[in-house]
Amino acid sequence: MKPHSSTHDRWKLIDQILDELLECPPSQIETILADRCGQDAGLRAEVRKLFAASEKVSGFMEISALESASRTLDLETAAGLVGGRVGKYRLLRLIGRGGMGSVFLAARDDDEFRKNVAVKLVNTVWGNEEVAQRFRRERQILAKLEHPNIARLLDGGTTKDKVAFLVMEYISGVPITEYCKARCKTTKQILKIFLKVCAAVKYAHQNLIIHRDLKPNNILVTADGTVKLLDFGVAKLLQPDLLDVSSNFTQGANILTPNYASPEQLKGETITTASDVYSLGVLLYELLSGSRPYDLKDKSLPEILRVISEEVPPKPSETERQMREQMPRPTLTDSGLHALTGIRRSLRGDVDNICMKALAKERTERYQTVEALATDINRHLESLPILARRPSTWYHTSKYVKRHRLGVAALSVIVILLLGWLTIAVWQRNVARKEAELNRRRAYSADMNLGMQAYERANLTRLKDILAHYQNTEFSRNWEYRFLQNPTNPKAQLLVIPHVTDVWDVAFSPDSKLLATACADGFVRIYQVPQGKLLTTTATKEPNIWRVRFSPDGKSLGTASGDANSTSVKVWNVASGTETLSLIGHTARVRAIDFSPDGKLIATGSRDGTIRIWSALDGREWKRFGVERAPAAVETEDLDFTPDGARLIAASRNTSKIWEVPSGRILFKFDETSTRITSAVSPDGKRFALGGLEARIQIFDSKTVKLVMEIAGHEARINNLTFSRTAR
Amino acid sequence: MAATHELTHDLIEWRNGNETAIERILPVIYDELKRRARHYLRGERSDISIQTSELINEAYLKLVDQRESDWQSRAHFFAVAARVMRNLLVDRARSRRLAKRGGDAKRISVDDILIASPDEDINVVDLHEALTTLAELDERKSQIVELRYFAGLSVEETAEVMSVSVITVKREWLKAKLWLYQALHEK
Repeated sequence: MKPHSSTHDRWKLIDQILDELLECPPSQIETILADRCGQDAGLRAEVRKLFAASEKVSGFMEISALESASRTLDLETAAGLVGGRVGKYRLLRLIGRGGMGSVFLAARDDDEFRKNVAVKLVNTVWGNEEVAQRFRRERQILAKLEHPNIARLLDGGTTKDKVAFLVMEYISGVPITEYCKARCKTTKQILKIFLKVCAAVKYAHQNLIIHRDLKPNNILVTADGTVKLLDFGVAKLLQPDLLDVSSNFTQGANILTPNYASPEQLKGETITTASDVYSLGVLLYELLSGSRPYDLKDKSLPEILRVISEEVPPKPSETERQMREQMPRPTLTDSGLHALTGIRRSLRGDVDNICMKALAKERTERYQTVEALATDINRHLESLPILARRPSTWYHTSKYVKRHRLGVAALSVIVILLLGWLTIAVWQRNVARKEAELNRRRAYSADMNLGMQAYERANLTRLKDILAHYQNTEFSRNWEYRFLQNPTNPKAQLLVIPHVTDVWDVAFSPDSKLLATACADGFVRIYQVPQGKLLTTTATKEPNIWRVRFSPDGKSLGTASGDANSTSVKVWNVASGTETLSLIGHTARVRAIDFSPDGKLIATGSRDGTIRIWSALDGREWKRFGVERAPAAVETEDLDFTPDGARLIAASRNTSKIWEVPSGRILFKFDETSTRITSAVSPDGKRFALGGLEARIQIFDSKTVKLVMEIAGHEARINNLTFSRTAR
Repeated sequence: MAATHELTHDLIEWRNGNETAIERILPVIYDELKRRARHYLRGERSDISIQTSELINEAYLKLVDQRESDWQSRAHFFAVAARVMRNLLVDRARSRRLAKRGGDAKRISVDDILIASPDEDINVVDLHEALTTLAELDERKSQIVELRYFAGLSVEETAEVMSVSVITVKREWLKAKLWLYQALHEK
């Protein structure tokens, strides 16, 4: 039975008032309540009660029910151990749980002074081999570290039930963020504490250890202000001989807190000491501004990945200002916010720059070592010029002035008078120059858009006119210029080869002298270019041929084919048209094929859900990526090796992916908003393109997997993409 | 394979207004999700960080023929899956409560600083009941809660499934949380 409609009306009203309250500045809350509730004291009480909960719900229901159930289960298992013994220690209380184990407060059973220790046990629920291995590694790592700012390893072993455990110094402290909120009144105090963290991380790095999970909960500060770094559970031990090469280790990377993880960590790329520098940058940002650089709440992993690798956060001083403006809600004025008050002004400039440099998306743009980061902070504290800023005369002078405040005062007046007119003149000229430059760029991009339209309409004369404008300018080296210039190349010729059946794919031989067409009638035809003379037709009939590719030496052809009832992958001799290999194994039609750049491997993608890599020598299956699934679950429609042969770009209607060869690791998953059915990699490997049913081509940077360009304008789906050999 | 085909069609039929189709859809999704959820809770998953939404998405990829389905079918699948997850988890919580014969289900107290989530004490059965009350008052909010909390979808994904804006989901989600928090803490 439906409740009485007046209940509904009342709820609607409450709902509206809540909307207003949640958006208004705190000062207006009472006005709105009085305004909207009038004499209805009951209504006012109800709204007030609901609104009051807004202080408490930030963490409420933010972990999904299933994940929450799983955690509770783990927690119960761990709690059941309290009171029991591990080695010489009695477990007193559960004090924490991490991705792989539980931490207990414990005391030595035979110790009359009951010195407390922390005992970390592998989580038995997750007692798989990978976790056990990680645990052993943590022990090995901790054993190497002895530093006043790192929690010490005291003991370790295995219980009777073969559960591994570590005994560590018990740290009675609070996370560094809490500590600073409560105790640090100035930026200087925050920086000093932060430097201690840097010292601990630097020490770990000197011992060839990357922490990989630096976050406030792993950095505690004791009552006397001692900083202690904990939890090397996912730390990485570098091989001494691999110091600079850094390792490809990413196991466990997926349990990191995304809030503090660097872009390369999230993408599963190589992790170096610079990844720790990034996490330290996030921490510093949070300590200074009271908020983390990115708002990742409510976001799914792909969204997080996008934000972290693309968005530039506001400067800490800016965030701090915003935080303070939002703050004055009556119930929130605690000591922490009060402490932030004096901080803002001192953030602008150096500290902003230091933070932003540590947070750079590209590793190479960050501080290369924690030491460099610490040095810059120290220089700032001593009012010396920092490295995070590009040196300018004015900046150095200002630093000099700060150090010798009085001495320079008199001099300044004279210098300022002398330089006054000159400065203004130079400034004006710079502004004008910048404006002109900007206008030129705008005109250029507008023209390139026109050029693209002309290109789409095959209006080559118009295209030529547009391009002629920019010939031999700084723009003529740009990618889009070259892209458009290509079809206008006077050497280009039109070659029309009539076909009686559908042609699904065409391929040029590496020397561009041959053209192969994949036909729906089941044959590949090879033509001479530019004459258009038919040289060879493949000897036997295949099912529908979807893709054809030349081997890098141009001597062989690979075909991918199949229909509802059959599947076939074959390699053919170009000169004779005879079959040289048949790659047998796929259980559904195959639509994607590519040769590795060295010609030794062939990759195929099928409707059976797998991508397989074969030896081009004997046709044996060598690797298999993905698992066989129900047909059409994941069908790869096009495959491209990158020129180094280390990656495969796989275009699919569901989720296009980048795979690592030969490990089969997924390096990147594209969003599912577009259905990509074709891919291509530029000859220099720096860019790759995806296209599909939405009739647009997206060009990505290979390194960052960032969208660099989107070409719209095709009128129908895009079936094939190729980079010209000169494309940059 | 045949099942894949049928489920895809049943989803489309259901979307087109054939109410009986849901009776064929539900058991299939129920079995699949139950199996996956059980694996998940037993720790048999190879990837310990997998999220609920991914688990459902995997079930979707397995059960539905992508070629013949479209985004609306996907949205419908997620809506059904969210409801199924809710039932599964509530049933599980109820039977666990029974197994403990009431009483000795002790609350575990833990130093909260080091614990990853402050959120582990939600009683799923109580939440389920509160949510049922909320649904009578405000259907949309309860559906958002189902998708966000039981199916683990992000705000963006929820917006997509419900065909509403991200801002709407954010606002409704917050108000739903206020309501539920209040309802659970009033007792």
